[in-house]
Amino acid sequence: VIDLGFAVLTVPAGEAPKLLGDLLSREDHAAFVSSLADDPDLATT
Amino acid sequence: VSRVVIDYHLLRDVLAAEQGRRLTRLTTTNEVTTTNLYYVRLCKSVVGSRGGTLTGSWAPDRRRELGRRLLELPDSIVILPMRLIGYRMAELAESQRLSTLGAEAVAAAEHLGASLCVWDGDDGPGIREAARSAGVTYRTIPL
Repeated sequence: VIDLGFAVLTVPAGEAPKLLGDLLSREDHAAFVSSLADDPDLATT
Repeated sequence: VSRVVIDYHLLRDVLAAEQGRRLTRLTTTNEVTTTNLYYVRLCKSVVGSRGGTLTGSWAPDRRRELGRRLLELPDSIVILPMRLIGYRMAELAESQRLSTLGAEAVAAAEHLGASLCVWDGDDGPGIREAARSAGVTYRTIPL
């Protein structure tokens, strides 16, 4: 059960991580991180 | 207990249960930790995400709320408070010319006696060298 404040979402046990995968795919995450390359506080080099 | 500090890419995969073989082995044989700034960076990604097949039609504020809940870290994932490593981070940032994020990663691993593990696509020479200088084991992990 995920309480979102505006609604309560019920998902089968163990399925919540898939929602995260849908919300933020590995590729989207990598692209977002690359877009922050100029941030001096968060640089990884 | 052996420990690992994982970066935001690996943390995303752990939380999304999309772990490859090496990451699975790493997380099942070690206590898993990450850093405040790795966590913040992952949160920033979710805040800016547009979602996929399941969540792409959701309104942005509802996607963000879902993301907030999904990114609540389980108690098993440790984050060191800044009060324990803040000064060491400043030293590392000054002496090794690291970003704040990089300094926290190395300082946390040093403090915990942990290995610092990053996605191999984000292997940074600055953090790698700083880890070596601090005596921290630095490992790259494929997704």
